[in-house]
Amino acid sequence: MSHTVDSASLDGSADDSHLQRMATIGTLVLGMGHELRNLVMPILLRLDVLSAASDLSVAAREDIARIRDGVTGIQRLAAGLRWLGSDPMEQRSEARITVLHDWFRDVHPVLKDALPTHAMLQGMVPASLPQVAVPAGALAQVTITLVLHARRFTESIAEPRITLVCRREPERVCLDVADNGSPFDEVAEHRSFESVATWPAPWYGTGLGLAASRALMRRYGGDVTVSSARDGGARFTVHLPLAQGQSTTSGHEGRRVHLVVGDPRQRTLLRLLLTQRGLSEWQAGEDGSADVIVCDGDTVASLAGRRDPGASRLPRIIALGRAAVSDSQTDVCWAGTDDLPRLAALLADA
Amino acid sequence: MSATFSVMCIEDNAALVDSLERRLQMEPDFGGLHRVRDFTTVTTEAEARRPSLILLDLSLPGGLDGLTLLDDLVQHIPDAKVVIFTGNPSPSVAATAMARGAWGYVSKGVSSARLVAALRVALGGDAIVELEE
Repeated sequence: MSHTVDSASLDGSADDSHLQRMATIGTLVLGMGHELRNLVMPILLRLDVLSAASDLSVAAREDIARIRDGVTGIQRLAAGLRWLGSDPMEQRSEARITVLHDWFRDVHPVLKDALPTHAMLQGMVPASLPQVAVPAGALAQVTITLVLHARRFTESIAEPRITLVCRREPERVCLDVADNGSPFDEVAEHRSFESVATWPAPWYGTGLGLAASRALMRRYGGDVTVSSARDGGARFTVHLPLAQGQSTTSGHEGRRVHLVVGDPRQRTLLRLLLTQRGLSEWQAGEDGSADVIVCDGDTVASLAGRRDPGASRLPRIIALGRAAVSDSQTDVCWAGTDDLPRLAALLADA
Repeated sequence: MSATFSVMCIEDNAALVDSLERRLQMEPDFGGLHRVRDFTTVTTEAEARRPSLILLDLSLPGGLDGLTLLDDLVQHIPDAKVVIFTGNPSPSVAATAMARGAWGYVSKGVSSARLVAALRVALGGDAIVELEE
């Protein structure tokens, strides 16, 4: 079998059907993940109770440990399933940041389950990679599509091997999905991006084809390209734009935000937003200075007054609450924690 | 022994509530768990019992929305420590819940150790978000 796919343009009705199928599968998958979590947590809690018994034999403790390992594996699978259930085209803007190492840890069990047991799946996604500005769910669905594509073209191979390698380039991260399957057919592979692709075995798939995968990545400023793999099969490369503040050569120096917020709930909410935005928290006493200060509304005047006007760059101040009349002429931005879109937008612009 | 803590559980998964109670009984300062059986009287029960912590699921039977219940609890009992305990590990929903006054958002996909640790954080007066492992 040559390394090709059947391409077919879809008319409107087929496109609708395609999208409905995706939505149905996504809903089912999300529900399954939810139910798995509901089943697993009681088991873990009961294992804690069992483990606390003082008269357990060594063998019984070993049994409990192995059960815990298995149940934790199911929990990990449920974590991976959530990426399949998310709508790749409607990711909220504040959730567009993906930490690739953590993402791969979650997605790996799903990828593994999508392949036959004798297939080898090798992954190399270093923790040192910078964050990318693509939603985790969209990236997962594209990656699963590419892995399933590789599965299709390694079925006749005695020892199928699929590799996922993330590598850093100056202004982006590239994720290579390569296989040792049937010979790469350059013309056919490039044509496979021209329209919605279908495979002879449509019973496995995310609903995304190669064309849709490329379109999805381009929506987020990335791309999907194809070339010949070292082992003779195909190598698809997902090009991922870096998250804001990650584009320096050293890579890991996102903008830093100092939180001067009294309410622990608001601090926790802000830390969550910082994580999603790829920003890091700056603590008093650390080297350097913060790029942004988020503070309670009643402390903004004193903080603004303490900024050093001689500094090369003044930190931007975001105050929580409603603007006071006397502050209308300052450069302080105001946002309520109940106005998440505005707060997220201010942090994104910071 | 210092003061004990009590937990009110607004959750329709009986196996989960039973297991959580058994697990919390291992904590030396655990003072008891109250199961809410009628989800339409949550706020009234919480006002009467004043638990140290309220664990609230987001998906409840009868089309009840946990976030709406959160609003009611926060409005009527401003000092209630409500922790969302859910099968939905969405950061966006977590942010929404925290913005609406929750003290915590804990996914049912975390380890039991992290669950108990998260409850301790909220009991200690800090806020916590635990999504997945």
